[in-house]
Amino acid sequence: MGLADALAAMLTNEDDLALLRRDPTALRDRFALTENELAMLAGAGPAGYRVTRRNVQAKLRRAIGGCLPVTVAHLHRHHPDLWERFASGLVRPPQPVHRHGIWESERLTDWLTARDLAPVADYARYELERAKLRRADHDRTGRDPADVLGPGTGTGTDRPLTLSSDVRILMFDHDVTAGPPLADLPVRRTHVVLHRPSPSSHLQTYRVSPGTALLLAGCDGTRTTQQLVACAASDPAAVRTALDRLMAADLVRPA
Amino acid sequence: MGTLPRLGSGLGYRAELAEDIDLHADRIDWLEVISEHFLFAREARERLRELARRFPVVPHGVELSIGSDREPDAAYLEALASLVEDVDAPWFSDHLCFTRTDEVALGLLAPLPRTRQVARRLAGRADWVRRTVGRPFLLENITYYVDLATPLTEAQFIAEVLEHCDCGLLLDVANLDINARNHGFDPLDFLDTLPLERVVQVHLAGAGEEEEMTLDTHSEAVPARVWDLLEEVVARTPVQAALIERDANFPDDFTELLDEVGRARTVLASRPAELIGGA
Ligand SMILES: [Fe+2]
Repeated sequence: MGLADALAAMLTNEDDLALLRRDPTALRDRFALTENELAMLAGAGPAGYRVTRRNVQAKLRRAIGGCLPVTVAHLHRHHPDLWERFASGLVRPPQPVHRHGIWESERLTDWLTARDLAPVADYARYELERAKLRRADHDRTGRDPADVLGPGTGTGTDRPLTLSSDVRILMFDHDVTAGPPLADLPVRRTHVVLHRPSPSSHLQTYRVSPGTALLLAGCDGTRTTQQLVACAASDPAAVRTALDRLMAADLVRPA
Repeated sequence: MGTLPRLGSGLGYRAELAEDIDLHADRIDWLEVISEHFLFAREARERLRELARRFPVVPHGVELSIGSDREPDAAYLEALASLVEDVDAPWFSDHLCFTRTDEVALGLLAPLPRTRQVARRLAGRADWVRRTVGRPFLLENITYYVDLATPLTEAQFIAEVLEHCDCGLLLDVANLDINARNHGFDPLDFLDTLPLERVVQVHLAGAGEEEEMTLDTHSEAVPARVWDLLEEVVARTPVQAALIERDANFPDDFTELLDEVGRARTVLASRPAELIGGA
């Protein structure tokens, strides 16, 4: 504890900042400051604290805006008070560089979900998953087993099927694929598959039927084609065709 | 630290400017890139390697947080060393500040208590980073709005740091101008106090005006005051590299930035040849 801890707290928490004027002894005790350190903080003019605090929030907005650009623009334009409340209450913990903005975006998404803003929360989650997938090459270590195995060998094999490494299956209560304005997102149960075929390629977005989403979810590395066909409620030939298409699109591979 | 190459006049590489930089490579001597954008991003790193075949590239960090109590993350430093090696950087740089504590990431460059003790600890840390990364390391003066009532002035603090480490100074002339105006000191006194012979590189940028203070926004053209200060610095000491920083409000006409790069090159070259150090 010391001056940097106190300053960081004062720049991220209005109450801690107020403590400097209201009860400096409490601030000193809380952060184990020396008298000299307390005097350094007390001697700085209030405008500098105000400006820096605004900058901290602007940086937060930029960090989240890099991951959830549409959501942040929408909140800023239509719910500035809500944004203000969120931004002024969030204290960011240190994160690895490649997670820049992700933790913060997760908090905003959770925060929106807990409020009566279902379409915005849905869209935030959609943008968040896209941002995470775009960063996937930062997290990946070692080779993808599928790279070693080579391309899929068709549904004729009895190897269990699994999703390709950069595939996400998501479900929303709104059709997020309609895009902004977010207040007008159609209320419609929507299944979306995101796929980033390689680190250099653009993210692919598919809107899929509930049946296809269920089939994809079944490709968890424990079931073979035969087992997936047997489990499915629909016509076996249709399920086989669907699996063939998913493999051709490289969404599914033999495990 | 030895003699460092004279890079000339460059531009901060930003995604928004990539196309224009590519088109006007003949008018830009070198590029500075934000280290964190390339540390763990394989694709971006591949593109950077291509860029480094055409320009000298210098990684400039914003998240080393050299003033934090905790020493920099080993994975970060390892990635930084690999980046610097990858682009064969003549040096790398970061800021005299802290950006985080154990609990809080501020996401911005925050001022340190300017005491001799902090300066010396930071100097030791800077030398350790320099040795770990394996290239010359420059430290940059920040813009600060909270002006802690410290025993040392900013210039005395920087001088104390430099006296105790073998690092160079990246003098952000725009930051100096902003701090001087926000906190009411004379920028020439500041220059008088610094060991100017340690300046390797300068940053130039335009600021934004807010009701309460002038802000370091990198969103405007470099103002006359900053050009004057650059001339003052160059008249006092050789400078190996100048860099225009632009991060927002990008001009529609890229030649505005090219003209600034050109003007900085002219100022650097105005120093009598016999006084120019470096290769
Ligand atoms: Fe700078």
